[in-house]
Amino acid sequence: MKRLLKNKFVAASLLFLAIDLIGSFAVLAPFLVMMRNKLDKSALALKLWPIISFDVVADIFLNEPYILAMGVVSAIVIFLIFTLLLTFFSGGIYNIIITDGGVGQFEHSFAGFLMNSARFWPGFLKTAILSIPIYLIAAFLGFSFGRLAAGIAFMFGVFVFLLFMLIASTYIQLLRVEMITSGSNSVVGAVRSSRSLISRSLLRILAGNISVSVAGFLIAFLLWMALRGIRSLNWSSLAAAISIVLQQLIVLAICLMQTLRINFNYTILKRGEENALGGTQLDRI
Amino acid sequence: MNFFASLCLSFAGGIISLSPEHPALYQIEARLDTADHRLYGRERIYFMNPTDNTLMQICFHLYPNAFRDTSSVMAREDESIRNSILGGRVSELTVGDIVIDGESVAPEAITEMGTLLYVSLSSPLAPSDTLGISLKFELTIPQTQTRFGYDELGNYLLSHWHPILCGYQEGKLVDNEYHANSEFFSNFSRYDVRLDLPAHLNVGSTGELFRVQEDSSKAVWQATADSVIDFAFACGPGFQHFESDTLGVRIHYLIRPQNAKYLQSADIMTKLAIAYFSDKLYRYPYSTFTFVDAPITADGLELPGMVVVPFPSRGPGSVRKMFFDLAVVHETAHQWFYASIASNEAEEPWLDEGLASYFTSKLVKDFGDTLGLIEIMRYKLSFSAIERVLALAPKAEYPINLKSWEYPDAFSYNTSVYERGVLVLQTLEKILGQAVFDSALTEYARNFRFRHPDSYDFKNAMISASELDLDRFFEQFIDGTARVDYSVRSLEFETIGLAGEKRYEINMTVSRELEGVLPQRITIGLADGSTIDTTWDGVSRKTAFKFESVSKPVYAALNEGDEYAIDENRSNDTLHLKSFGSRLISFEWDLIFIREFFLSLIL
Repeated sequence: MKRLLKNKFVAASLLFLAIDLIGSFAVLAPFLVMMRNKLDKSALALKLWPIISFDVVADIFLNEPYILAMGVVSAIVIFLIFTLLLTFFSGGIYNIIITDGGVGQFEHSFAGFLMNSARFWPGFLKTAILSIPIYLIAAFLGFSFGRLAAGIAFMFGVFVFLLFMLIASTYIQLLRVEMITSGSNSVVGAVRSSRSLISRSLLRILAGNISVSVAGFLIAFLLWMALRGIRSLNWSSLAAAISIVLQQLIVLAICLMQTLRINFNYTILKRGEENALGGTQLDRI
Repeated sequence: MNFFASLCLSFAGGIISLSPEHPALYQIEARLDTADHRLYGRERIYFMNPTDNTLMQICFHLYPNAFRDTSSVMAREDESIRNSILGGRVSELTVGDIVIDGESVAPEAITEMGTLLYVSLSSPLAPSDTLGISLKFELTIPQTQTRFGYDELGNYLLSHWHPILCGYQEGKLVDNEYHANSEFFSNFSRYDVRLDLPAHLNVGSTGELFRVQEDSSKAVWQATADSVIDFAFACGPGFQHFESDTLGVRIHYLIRPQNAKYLQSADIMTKLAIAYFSDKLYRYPYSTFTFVDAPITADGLELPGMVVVPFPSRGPGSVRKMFFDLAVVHETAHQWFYASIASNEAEEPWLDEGLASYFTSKLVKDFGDTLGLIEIMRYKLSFSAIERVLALAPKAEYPINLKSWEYPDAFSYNTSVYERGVLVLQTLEKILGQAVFDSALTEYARNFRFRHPDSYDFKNAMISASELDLDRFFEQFIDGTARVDYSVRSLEFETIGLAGEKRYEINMTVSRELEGVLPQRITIGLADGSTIDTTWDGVSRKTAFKFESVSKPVYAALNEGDEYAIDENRSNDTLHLKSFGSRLISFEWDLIFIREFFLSLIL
C-alpha cells in the first residue's frame, strides 16, 4: 500500500481528488445547508433517490430563487478563492508527475511539495486566467462545428464539442509542463518555447491525449454502470455509502487520466528538447 | 337576392342550405403559378345575415396582408416578422371586381384597413336575408412566412389565403386585426374549390379532394368541404403522398422524402389521437384528415381537417420523439377545439389552445410512461413536469382569458394560454372530480359541435354538470391571476391518558401562503400505518386542527398523492416528524460528485 502511494501517478491522482473534494464541498456548502433546511422534513426528500427528481428541481427553481441566487453567488466567490488554492497545489502536483524518480516513484517531502507549489504558483495562476479565453474559444468553436456534425448524428456533435475542449485542456497542460521543465513562470515564454514543438508533434499530441482520455472515460463509464446498478436498489444506508465510494472512484479515474495526460504531454515536450539537442529517445535506448 | 329564413341554393349539383350557424358558402377557382409564386383566383360567396340586426356592410379578412410591409400590426408587434418582411418575405392579397347581387361595388364603398376589407352594402341586409358576392383576387406567396408560404423545395402551404368573410359571434361582427399572437375565427361554411395546379405536384387539402382533369402541364383538382371555418391546401413536388384510414376517416400524409421514415410513427400517433378524442368527445367530425410535414410553421398548425406538423431534425432522439408525438396529438385535438367547436381563437385563445393542451396531457397520462417522456442518459423528464414549470415560472402575471393581442409577447401568451391553461383545467378537474369533469367536457363538446362557444358557455357547462358554485374559481384562475400555495406549518403531539391506554393529542397548523383559495384534503399519517383524513375549505390564512389517536403521528400532508398541479410549492405540502437527514446526505454527495467530476476535467 505504501509502495502504491509512493507511485507518482497514484499520489498525484489522489492529491487532485482531495483538492477536488475539498473545493467542491466548500463551493457547495452554502447551497447544501439551505437545501437541508428546505427538505429535511419534507416528503420531497424521498424523490432524491436514485437520482434527483425533476419535481425537486422544479420546486427549487420555482420557489427558492434566493437559494439559487445565493448559491450561485457564494459558489462563484468560493470558486475564485478555491482557484487560488487549486493553482497553488497544482504546481506541486505537476512537479510530482514530472519528477523522474525511476519507475514512476518519487521522493519528495511535504515541505518540498509546498515549496514547489509556491515556486510555480504565479505561472499557474497566469495559465488559469489564460485558460478562461482559451476554453471560451474552444467552446465557441466546438459548438459551431458540433452543430454541423450534429446534422449527421447528435452524438457526433457532442464528440466534436468534447474534442475542442480536450484540445484546449491539452494546450493549458502543455504550457504548465513547459513552465515546470523550464523552471520559469513566464506564460509568454512557455507559449513561445512550446509553439514549434506543438506544431511539429500536433498529431502525436492529439492521438496520445485522445487515447488516454478514451481509456479514462471508459473506466469511468464502467464504474458509472456499477453506480447505476447500486442506484437501482431501494435506498439504504449501505447502498448510499457504496454509491458515494463509486462516485469518488469515478472522479479518481478521471484524475488518473489527467495525471497520465500530463505525463504524456511532458514526455512529448521532453523528447522535443532532446531532439533539439541532437538526441532522440532511440539514442537513449 | 333576398330570401326568408334559411336559403336553399342549387350548388355544385346539390342543394345547400344556409343557416345562422352555417351562414356562408364559398365557390373558389384558383390557379397557382409556381414560377412567380402567385395565385390568381375568383371567389363567389353566398352569405346569409346570421345576426338579428340589419347589416350595412360586410367585412373580409385579408390575412396575407399582415406580411405586405412593416406597417402592419403583425410586423409592428413581432420583430422577427418585421425582419423577415425586410428580408423580402412579403405577401399581398389584392381584391378587385367586387360584385354584390349583380351590381359592381363602387370604389368609395370599399375601405381597406390593415388586414381587413370593409364593403358597404348598397342596400341593407336584413336578418336572415342573403346576398351573393363575387370578386377576383391575386395572392403573392412569400417564402416560409408565418403559417404559410413556400419552402426551398417548392412545396406550398396555403392557409388563410383567400378573402375570408369575418365571422359573427353572438350577433356581433368579429373583425380583429391579424396580430402576432392571434389565430383565427370565422363562421362555418361550405367550400367548393377548384384548383388549377402544375401537373407534377402532390396535393392535400381540407375536405374531399379529387383530381378531375390532367394533362402534361397541369392538373385540375376539385375539393369540397362542409362545416369548416377555412379551406387550406398544401402542394409541392417535394411531398410524398401516403394514405391510411381509421374509424372510417381517410388519412392523407404529405411528407418530405427525408422524413418518410417517420411515417409509421406519425400514423400511429394520428390514429391514436383520432380514436382517443372520438371516444372522449365525439366522433371525428370530417371524412378526411390531412397531415402535412412542412417546415413553414414553427411547432405545428391546426387547420380544418388538416394539421401541419414539422418533423424536428435536431436534438437527442427521445426529445425529438416526445415533441413530435405531442405536436401530433395537440394539433389533432384542435380538430375538436378549433375546427368543429370554433371558439374565438383570437379573443379567447385559452378555450381552444388550453383545452387542446389539456387533452394532450390527458392522453399522455392515460397512456402511461410511453408518451410525453424525455429520457437522456436514463434521466427521465416528463412533459407534464416541464409544462408545470413553464406555467408557474411567470408567477401568473397574466390571466389565461386575455385576448391574444393583450399578451405582450409570445412567451407570456404561450405560458399563460397553453401551460397555465392546462394547470387551471387540471385543477378544475380535481375540484369537480374526474367523472363529473369528463362528462361536463363531453356535454360541452357535443352541445357546441359546429357552434361558437365562449367562456360563459364553458363555465355554464361546468356548473350545470357539477351543480357547484364556480364563480370564485373562474374569478381567481380564468379571469384572474391567483397563485396557490398551501403549507403544513406545524405538527406536534402530546401523550394523554393513562399508561396502557396511551392516547395522543395531535395538533397541526396549516396555512394559505398566497391569495389563491382551493379546498384542501388533510391527511395525518400514523405510526400504525393508518391515517386520519379531513378536509379544509382553504379560505382562512391559517387554521389549527386538533385530533386524537391511539397511535403516534408520523407526518401530515395536504392532498397526499393527488396534489394540485397549480400549487407552486410542493416541499411544504408535507411535514414529517422524522428528519430525512440521511437521505439528504446521498443527495449532497451527488451534487459534490457532479462538481468534482467537472472540476477534474479541467485539471
